[in-house]
Amino acid sequence: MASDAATVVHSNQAVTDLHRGLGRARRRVRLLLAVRLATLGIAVLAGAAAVVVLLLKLGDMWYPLLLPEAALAVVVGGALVAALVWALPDRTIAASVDRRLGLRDRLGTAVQLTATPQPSGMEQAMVADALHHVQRVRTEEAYPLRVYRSTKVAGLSLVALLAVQLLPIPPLFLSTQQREDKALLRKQAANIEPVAKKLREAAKKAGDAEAQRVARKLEKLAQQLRQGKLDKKQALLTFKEMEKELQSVQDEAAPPALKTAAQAARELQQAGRERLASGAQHLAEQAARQGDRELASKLENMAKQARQAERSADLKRLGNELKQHATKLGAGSRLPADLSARLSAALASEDWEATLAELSELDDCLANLASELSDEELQKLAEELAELAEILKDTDLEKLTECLGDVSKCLKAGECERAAQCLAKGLKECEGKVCALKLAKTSSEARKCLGGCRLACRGAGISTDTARGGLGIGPDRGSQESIPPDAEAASLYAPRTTETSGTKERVSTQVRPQGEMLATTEKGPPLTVSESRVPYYEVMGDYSKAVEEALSREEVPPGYRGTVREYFDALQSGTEP
Amino acid sequence: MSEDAMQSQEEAQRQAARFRQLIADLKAEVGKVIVGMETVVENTLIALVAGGHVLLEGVPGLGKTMLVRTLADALDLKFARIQFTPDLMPADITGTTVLWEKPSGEREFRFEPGPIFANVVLADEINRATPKTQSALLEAMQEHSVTVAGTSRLLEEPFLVFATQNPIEMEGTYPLPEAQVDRFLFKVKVDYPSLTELHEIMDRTTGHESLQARKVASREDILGLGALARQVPVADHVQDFALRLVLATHPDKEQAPESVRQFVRYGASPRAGQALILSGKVRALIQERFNVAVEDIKASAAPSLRHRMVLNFEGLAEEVDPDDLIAEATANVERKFEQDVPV
Repeated sequence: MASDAATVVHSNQAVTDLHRGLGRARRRVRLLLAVRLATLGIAVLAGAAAVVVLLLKLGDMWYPLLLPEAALAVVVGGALVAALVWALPDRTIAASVDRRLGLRDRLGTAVQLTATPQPSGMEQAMVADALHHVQRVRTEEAYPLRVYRSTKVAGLSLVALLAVQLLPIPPLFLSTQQREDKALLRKQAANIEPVAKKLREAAKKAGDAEAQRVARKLEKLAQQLRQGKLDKKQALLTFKEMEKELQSVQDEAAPPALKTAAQAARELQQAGRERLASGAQHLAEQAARQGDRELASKLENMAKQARQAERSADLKRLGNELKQHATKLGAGSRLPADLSARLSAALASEDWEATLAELSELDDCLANLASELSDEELQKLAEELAELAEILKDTDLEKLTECLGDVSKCLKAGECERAAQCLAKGLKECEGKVCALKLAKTSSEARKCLGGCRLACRGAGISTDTARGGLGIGPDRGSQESIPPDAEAASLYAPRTTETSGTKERVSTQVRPQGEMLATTEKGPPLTVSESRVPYYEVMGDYSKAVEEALSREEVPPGYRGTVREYFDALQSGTEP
Repeated sequence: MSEDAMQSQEEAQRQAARFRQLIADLKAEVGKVIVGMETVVENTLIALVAGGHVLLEGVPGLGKTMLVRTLADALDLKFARIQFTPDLMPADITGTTVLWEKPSGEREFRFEPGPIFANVVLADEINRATPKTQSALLEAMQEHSVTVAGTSRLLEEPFLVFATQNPIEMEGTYPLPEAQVDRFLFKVKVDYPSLTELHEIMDRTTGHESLQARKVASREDILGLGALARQVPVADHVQDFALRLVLATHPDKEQAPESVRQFVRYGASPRAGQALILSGKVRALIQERFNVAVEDIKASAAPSLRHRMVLNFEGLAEEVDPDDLIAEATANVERKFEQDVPV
């Protein structure tokens, strides 16, 4: 019996080893099963997705760009789960290995015999024989990694899907409208590319990683538009998304200040006007005292012109003329006479670098002429800088306020060199802020550019150039180069052009950060009105909702409510009112 | 636990080695006389170990009788040859009771055993005897006993009948009844030798030398081989395959292929299943395995089933070869049976 017990123990060990050997084969089978199921799923799904995407693209219909890939990922995950839970009992694996390696049912029989409680000598010999073979089994031989037909099909389907997604559809398969759209998008790409490049440079200079990422994204968008990889609707969505990102970059780089640069420029211009007029008046009195009545009269006239001057260029001209006359009268100054004018011009155009450059020039002047400047000149400059410091309060360059105040104090104390050092230090400290402001400005420009592109793509009937100018006010028409944020909504129903027999006039409408917006309005009945390019169905919902709200708020007079309601009902039903 | 089950693994392996050695010796001894016919010899040896009878079918002169005689020479067993003729009577086979006079002058009836009372019986040209005579073998073949004059006498084990028949010379022959055919474990077809084999046969039989097999296996050896073979385990799926194959020879069963439905009248009996499993066990041991494989069943399918399938009129008219039907049935069962993992 002792020998019998020993054989049974030996058999148990053999059973453990047998199961271990089969476990290796099972893991291999699960792996291959996962691969096979995944490739099968990919073959079917990618093929179907390729066809659907192609049809959507041909039909110019929108779809989430990564939806097919997400579905493929789900399929692969499902295949892994299925392979893991696939029932693979020992008996199945044993029979499979037997068949594949020609083991003549050794493993299958052994697995069955392992359940025998008291195996006979022959049965133990059988299990030992099976164990001998299972230990030599190489799972790679039994289950080689084969390229199934489904794998090939999956590969082809994936290539087809990627090709359909990434490659532009040849023009041959596009309708006239689609070709026009592609051309339009390419045109937008040409508009975006320089802006993106500018943004990248500004972001790099400001050291803003997020802005650099957005700039790269913008460049990629331009590239995709140029290559025709995006359709119109995808482009519109991307524009909108990019606009938000650019707004975020802009807000991050330079949060809006309480006082705009344009306001500061106006205040500075006003101060410059008064200073110039006062200076001219002072010189006129001096000329009168010297008996030069002609010059006195001329200077009085200049003081009058200075008070009425609206443009920085006029003030600059007057300042330079005044400096010449002052020199003739022996009251000349070596300090720049048109500092306020130049600074106001720079601020008006939000050219922060130019603003700093003007102040830097003043700094050089102070450093060079420190010992030569008279007290009177220093006092005048101190007053001017104190005034400038006051004006720059609450602006983006508020950092300069303190510096300019210190410089003013130094000048009043007659410490010209110290004032120069102080100004130089202040300017250096502002460089980073200027970079950020430039980045914010560039982001704003890029956002406006995208807004224009979006308008153009939505077929509002406004050309890109016009759209850039906003509401029909292009660069050629007025000084306003940006579009208001709500221009999109207004432009949807705005006729592209109207011919009028009436007169045109400029009227100030609203105050914007950059200053008053000038709008050209046309009076008189339009002769012809071109059709709006926006389909009704795109705007009808918003307009109807707005009308309903207006009616509910009783903003429409009672006598017109019925008419208004009938009008929109008729539009919604597709009939002319 | 039985005595067999008590055997240790090493003992089983040792016995298996002894088994293979004996079979190899038998093959070698038979091979001294018989040229070629490897499959025939192997099937005959399998039947010998399994304790089954063999029906050898082949045209005259192919060495069927010689094979059985040689095998008998290699075995230390009692051998008898019965030449079946139309006038052969059952008593000529089983023996009869004769009146015998003792030396004392007293007379008594005494049973004189016939040639059936041997271990290996060669029933030469069995289909030449009348059905009445052929039927004399029925009891002996199935129950290993002979009943004469109301007295049953057991035959000594092993009892093996090796019958031969000629498939083409049908004049004056009596086809074996189904009941008797079914008692043969195998029906082995003896094919014509190849040119090389013919050369060898000529060399061996036309010279001075007269080769004869020496005895290499005793009665106990043969009985031991049979007992050992019966211990070989059979997995459920292998047995299932064998039984499905048997069922596939029945035209009314779902496993049957279309050809079986068309040409077969009756399929194989359960004895066919026994033949498949038993021969599979012996074949497994010969091939150094301790288990029966599906391949063993497939190898035994034709000799086990071909004589058990009764063709219908259409099958006979079309001269359908049962081997073809068996091959188709095997493929059909295999196709449905072998479900591999889908990788």
